[in-house]
Amino acid sequence: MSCQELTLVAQVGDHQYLAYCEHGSIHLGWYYGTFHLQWDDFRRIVRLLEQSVDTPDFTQLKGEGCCLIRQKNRCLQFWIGPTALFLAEAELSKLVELVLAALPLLNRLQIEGGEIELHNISQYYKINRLRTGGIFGAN
Amino acid sequence: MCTQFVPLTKSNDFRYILRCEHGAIYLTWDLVTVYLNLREFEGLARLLDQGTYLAESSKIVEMGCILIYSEQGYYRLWIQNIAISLKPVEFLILADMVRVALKGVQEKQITAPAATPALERFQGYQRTVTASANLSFSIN
Repeated sequence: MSCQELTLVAQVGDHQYLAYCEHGSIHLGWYYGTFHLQWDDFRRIVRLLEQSVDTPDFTQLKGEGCCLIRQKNRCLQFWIGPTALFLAEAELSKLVELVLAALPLLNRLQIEGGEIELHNISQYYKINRLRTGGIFGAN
Repeated sequence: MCTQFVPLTKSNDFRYILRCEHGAIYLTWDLVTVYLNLREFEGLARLLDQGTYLAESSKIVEMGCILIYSEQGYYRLWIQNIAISLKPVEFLILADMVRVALKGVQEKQITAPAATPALERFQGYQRTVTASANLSFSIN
C-alpha cells in the first residue's frame, strides 16, 4: 500500500503525529518510524493507552493484539502486533496526549467520511494551529 | 518533504523498500515504515547478513540496529526506535530484500545527501509513492 495523500490530524512534535491517508488508514508517526493502522487496531491502541493512564505503575499491560511493557530502566516497549515502538518514560504521556487529542476528529471523520470531511479536518487543524500554536497548544 | 520515490525492492504490497529524492531509504514491513539514511541502511544490510549465520541465541549490534536471535529461530530486529519480530522465513525474506535494495542503490549510484541528520530527512509526511517496483524482489 502506498499513500499519495496524508491529512494531518494531530501533532505533538515535528516527528510525532497522527494522520489519515486516502486508503482510510491511520498513520502514527514517531521519529524514525510510522505505523499504518486500521480503525479497529487504532481503537485497541486507544483502549490500552487509556488503561495505562488508569494504572500508571504497570509493568505490563495487555490489550487486544497490543501490549505495553515497562523495562527495568523505566523505558517502554509498545507492541502493536509483531512490531514495537520504543518510548522513553516521558514519551508515554506524549503519545497518550496525541492519540486522545486525535480521537474525536478521527471518530467524526469515520462517521461522516469522504473528501469534504478530510478537507474540513485539514482546515480545522490549520485554524487551531494558527490560534494556539497547534492542537496541543504551546506544548 | 519527500515527493519522489524510486522503488528498490518489493516482496508484496506491504513489504517494500523505496528511496526518496533526498536519499533516505523507506523500509516498509507490514504495518510499519522505518526511515534510514544510506549509512544506516548499509549497516542494517551487514547486520542481517551476519544474522543469517547465527546458530545460537545471540544479540548483535550495527549502526543503531540490534538483532536478537532466539534458539527457536525467531528474530527481533530493532531499527532505532522501532522493533520488528520475525519468523525464520520472514527474516530471510527481509534480509534478501535489503540485500537486493542495497545492490540496486550501489548499481544505480543514486547519490545520497552527505551527513544529513537523521531527523531532517523526513520533513514532511505527504508522499507521492510509485506503487509498482521496477526491480524484481530477489536477485537469487
